[in-house]
Order: sequence, then C-alpha cells, then structure tokens
Amino acid sequence: MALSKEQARQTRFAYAMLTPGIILLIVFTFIPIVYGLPLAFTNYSAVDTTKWVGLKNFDRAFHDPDFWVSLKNSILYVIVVPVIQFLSILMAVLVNNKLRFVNFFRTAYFIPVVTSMTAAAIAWKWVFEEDGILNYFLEVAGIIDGPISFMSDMNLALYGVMCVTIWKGLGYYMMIYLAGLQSIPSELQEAAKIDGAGRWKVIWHITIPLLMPFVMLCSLLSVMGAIRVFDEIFVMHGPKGDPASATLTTSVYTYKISFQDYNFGYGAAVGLVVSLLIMVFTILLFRYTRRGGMNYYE
Amino acid sequence: MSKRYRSFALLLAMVMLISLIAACGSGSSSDKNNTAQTPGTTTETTNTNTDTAKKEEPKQEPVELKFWTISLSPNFDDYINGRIKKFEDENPGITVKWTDLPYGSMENKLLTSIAGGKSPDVVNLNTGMTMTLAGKNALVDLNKEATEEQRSIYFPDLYNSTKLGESVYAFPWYYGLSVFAYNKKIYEEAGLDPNKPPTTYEEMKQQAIIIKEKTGKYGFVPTYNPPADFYFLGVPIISEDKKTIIVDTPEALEWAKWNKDLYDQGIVPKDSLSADANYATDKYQAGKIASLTTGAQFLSRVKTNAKDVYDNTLIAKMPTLKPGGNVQAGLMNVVVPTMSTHHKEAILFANFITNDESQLEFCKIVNILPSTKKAAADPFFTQAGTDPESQAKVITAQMASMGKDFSLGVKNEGDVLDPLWKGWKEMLNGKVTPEEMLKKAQAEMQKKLDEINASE
Repeated sequence: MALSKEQARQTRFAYAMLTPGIILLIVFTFIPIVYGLPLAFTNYSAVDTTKWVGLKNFDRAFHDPDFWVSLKNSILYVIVVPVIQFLSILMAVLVNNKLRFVNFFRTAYFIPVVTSMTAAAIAWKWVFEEDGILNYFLEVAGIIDGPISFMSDMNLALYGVMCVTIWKGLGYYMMIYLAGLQSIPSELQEAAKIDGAGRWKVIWHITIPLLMPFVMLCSLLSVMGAIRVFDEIFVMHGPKGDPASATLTTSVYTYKISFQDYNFGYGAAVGLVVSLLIMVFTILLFRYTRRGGMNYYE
Repeated sequence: MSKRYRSFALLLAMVMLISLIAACGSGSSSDKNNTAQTPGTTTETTNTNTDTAKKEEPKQEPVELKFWTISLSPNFDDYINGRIKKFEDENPGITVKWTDLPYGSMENKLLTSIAGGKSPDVVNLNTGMTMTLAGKNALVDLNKEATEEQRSIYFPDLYNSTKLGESVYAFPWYYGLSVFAYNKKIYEEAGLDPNKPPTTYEEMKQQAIIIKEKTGKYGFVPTYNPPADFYFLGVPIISEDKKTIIVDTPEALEWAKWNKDLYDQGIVPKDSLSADANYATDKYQAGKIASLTTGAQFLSRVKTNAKDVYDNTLIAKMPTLKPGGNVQAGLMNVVVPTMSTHHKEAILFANFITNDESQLEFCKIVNILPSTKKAAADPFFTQAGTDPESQAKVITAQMASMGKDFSLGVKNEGDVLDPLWKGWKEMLNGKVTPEEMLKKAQAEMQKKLDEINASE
C-alpha cells in the first residue's frame, strides 16, 4: 500500500523521534548484552590475562552454595508481586472515584516512585533499626516487649527489604491501573449495575477481567523487577547481602563476584543463568494470563 | 499533524533524551551492575590494553605520573601539592598529576582504568584492596623492583602486610589506631568512675552490663571482625606453609561464646550485626551509646556533629583482647600498578610520598601514625594537649609498636575468610552454636583454600 505524502512524512517523523532512544538502548543495553555473552565462558577479570574456560563458570555456579542461596532468595522475592498488584489495584480503584482532593492522593501515592531509591532505602533503614520508629510504635502499642532487629535478624531481613520494594512500587503500578480503569467503558459497569450487580460483583466480573491485560503487564514488570532486585538490598544490607547472605539475591551476588572479587567471567555466567530464569517466568506468565481484556467475553 | 502537536512531541522527545542521558551519567553503579550485561563494556576496552601498554615512552622524554589518593582532598590539598612540588623540584623531567577519589569509588575506578589501558602510576589503597589486586597480578612486586634502600625505611611488620608468597605489593603509608572514646556523662549516670575506663574486653563487658542496667543505654557497639580478632587472640588461622586452616581452637571458641553471650543478653545492640562503618559513630554522637572505638582521626566528626558529646568525651587506650597483644592497624598503602608505563619513576615517587619527611609532615596536620621508623621516633608524638583529639594522638602513638594489619597472605583472601564472617553472623542469629560455627567455618575455609592452591 502506497503511503500518502502526509503519511510518509509522519512515518519519517516517527522514526526520527525514535532514533535517540534506540541509539541509547543500542549503546548501553544491546551492545553490552552481546559482549556479556562470551564473557560467561572466560575467566575475564579486567586486570589479569583472559582465558577461555568453556562451561567451567556454569559448573562452578551449580556447585556454589552462595549461588543457590541467592537464587532461593530471588525466587522468594517474587512474593512481593501479588501483594504489590493487589494493593495497587485497590489504590487505583480508590483514586478512580470522584473524591475531593483526588489529585492530591494520586500525587501522594506517586511520590515514592520518584524518590531516589538510595534515599528511600536509607530512610527505611532508620525505620527498621532497633531504636527506629517501627519498633517504637510496636512497643507503644504493646505488641512487642523488646525491640526486634529487623535489620540483623536473618529471618526478617529479606521481608524488610520487600516492604521497601512494595512501598516504592505501589504508585507506579497504581498509575498504570488507573489508566486501565479509565479505559474501561463505563456503559459496561452501568449495565451490570442496572442488572442488579452489587459493587463487588461489578469489580470482580467487569472491572478485573477487563483490567487483565494491565494486570498481566504489571505482573510481568514486577516479576522481572523482583528477580532483579538490587538497589534496596545494596543500600540496606551491602554487597554481601548481609546478615550472612540472608538478603543475597542473584543481582547482588552478581555484583559481588564481578565488582568485589573481579570475577567478571563468573559474574556474567551467573547473570546469564538469571536471565534465562526470568525468560522462563515470562513465558509462563504469558501462557497463563493470555485471557482477559475484551476477549474475556468472546 | 498539527504544528502544536509536533512541537510538543519534539519537546517531549528532547526531555526524554536528556533525562536518559542524565540517568546514564548519574547511573549509580547499581543501575549498571545489576545484570550480567555490564562487563561487556569493559571487554571492549581491554582489547586495546596491550597496545597502549606497549607504547613505552623513551626515557629522556618528560614523564607524567598519575597519582591517585583516597579522600585526601580538599582537606590536605596544601600538603599533597607541597610534597608534589618538592618531588618535581628534586626530579626534573618528572611531573605528577594528582587525582583524589572518594573511598567508595576507588576500586571500580582503578579497575576500569586498568582495563581501559589508562592506568594511573601511583595509587593509594588499603590493605584489602591491595591484596585483591595483587592476587590478580595487577601490581608491581616491590621486592623485585624497588631498591633495598627504598624498602628499608618502613617498620617490617607494616611493610609485610601486603606480602603474598615472596612478593610484597605496597609501600605502607599512614595508619590510624583506634582509641576508646567514652562519654563521661553516661558513665557518671551509670555510677561508674569516669577515670577508670576498661583496659580489657572483659572489663568493658562488665561496665556495659552496668550501663545498660542503670541508664538503659548500650555500653559499646562491638565491631565484629572475626578474622582479625582471632588473629590477635593468637589463633593461627592459617599454617606457616599457607596450606592448612586452623580456626577451631579453644581461644577461638572462647571468644565466640563470649560474643554470643553478649549478643543474646542484649548488652550490645542487635543492630551491631548489620552495622556499617557509620553506625557506632552516629549512635555515639547521638548520646545513645556510652563509648566509641574509633580512629583518632575520626573524632573530629563527633566534634563537628555533636559539640556537647565531644565536650564530654574522654579518651583512653583501646581495651586489648589479651594483655600485651597486638592491635589492628588500618593501614593505607601506596602501590604501583603493573600497567603503569613508568615503573621506576613511579616507585621513586611512591617511596618519596611515604618517606620519613613526608610522613612526619603529614602526621603533624592530621591525627595519623607514620609507617616509617624514623618518623615514628619524632618527639612530636609525645607532646600532648588536653583536648580529646590531642590526647588521642599521644595514646595512639604509645600503641604504635603494637600495630599490625591482619592479612592471610594468600590470593583471594576474601573468599577464604568469607565462611568465617558468615558463620559468625549465623551464630549470633542463633542458627548454629559456636562449636558448630567454628567446625563448619574451618571446613569451608579449607575447601576454598584448597581450591585456590590447586588453581596455581
């Protein structure tokens, strides 16, 4: 089909607009990925001579207890996904109402998203400290007798970090869901109401199914985010995922072996394994959440 | 397309482009490092490594040495620039270009520069970083390339801190010894005599129990460093031939139990387990903890941040683990990367900046101790004022002969010590008993050591 002059001009313009982003992606993402692949098969350390080691790095990973611990923690971390999705849908439904000051609430919920993770993580560290605000409230409320060390207890540390991730991510997903909610034709909901459906029934049978494509997108994004979680752990628990690897996730471990031990080859191998893992998760998610949106009713 | 729409889109694209660039620039290392993608960028540059390294400049041409230090600017600009000028005057034809980096970014910056073939010539590193890089063959062996005259000015214990096999990879520079700073007011509140600070760890524990009971505050924050503590307690950790790990000893067990008891009873903060370097200082200057073991040079931080606490601060010698034992000296070193193209000149300057004259002058402007024999003997170190900082100087100088920087003297030392660190935290968390911890740590450390020895 031949494009009209105007269409051709628009297409050219669109490509021109896309170019800067694409260039940056190529330079900072695609090229490094391509370079990173062969690295996984070497002993590259940036300073010493580089040798080809075949599959040795992968073999090492499978026999490395720290790798398994980090993998376990990363997979465990995925439990933030349902929590984050549920809460952000709830928030989106709330701020989708015609409340007074609704713009204020929308903005307030979005503030954590634009806050620097480093600053947020440090602030949360204070919250979790022994003489921090959380322990203070719990003690005042009479829930606990002595302070709990949310930072040093190996059983709690990872969950503490999850709170930060959830707090930080809520607003972002809320915005996506809000856009989703506003794209749902109101006739459907009104029709259901006329037919006698209650508030929850409308949400459950109309809103959620129609929101499914958004749920799918958000779940996918947050699963990937959860498996790759790095910043909050690095700031709160350092590059070793302290205490005693309790918060060591694969990304933190990759950082540690690459930039602390200078085993970039091994780091690349671990990174590759994690990428494959994310891929599997993505495929699974795609497979089981395909239904939804308008085709729910087809 | 309407003109308005188009200009809006254009503006939007510009904003996105700028924010992307900005994001990359500030690109907190975390952004870039959290997947395996990044090392690729460094590979690209390694290929050019060898080419640049081979371009040795002819000797008679002027030489420019790149000198990197850790966190010395802007406080010591005059001192460093003054020394550089003196060196340049004495050695015509050599110029020194000084760059100062924050502590946290030194390691990565150095690594990328070496990988990029633009290595600095003289670099200031701590012992840990020196050992890691030495293990990767990135540093010049000073036992081979420096002269006997250059090597002989340092205290042998300190010079040998960076020994790996028969090689030594750094000239020791300055170091700080910790002192015991304590809050007179809290001691008085607890009914303790402020003129009787603890001299041993056991006394420190007993005082902490009283302080906790009377004031509800903590007596001290333990700075867990199991390898160094074991070493100074007389646990061998590694055999002479560097083949066997020995950590499961009665002394080690006693120390582990002592710490576990302290932790379980809540005499020390539970957060001490996850505390970073600033934790104890922050709590001390907030008046929440009665004492602080810190490098004398860091007391000025308390002075700036909490004048009232500083005014109530008294200084004493560090309580020792065992009577007359050694104490940990956090040493700063100066190294020459192998990738430098001017080894001889670089070693000359590294030796100059750490010689008696340079170090003595440095010690006079900041509370640190010299690593050279002559400088340490200067009367300056026995003259005291009355303020906490100046008392700290004299006290640390008295302890100087006890100073030693712990290192295993094997490649990938961090890997070998890791199980001990981890086991220690698991033990305090109640996951393993002290006995199990030592047994497990010894076995795992041995396994790592065997791997390292086998790979050579």
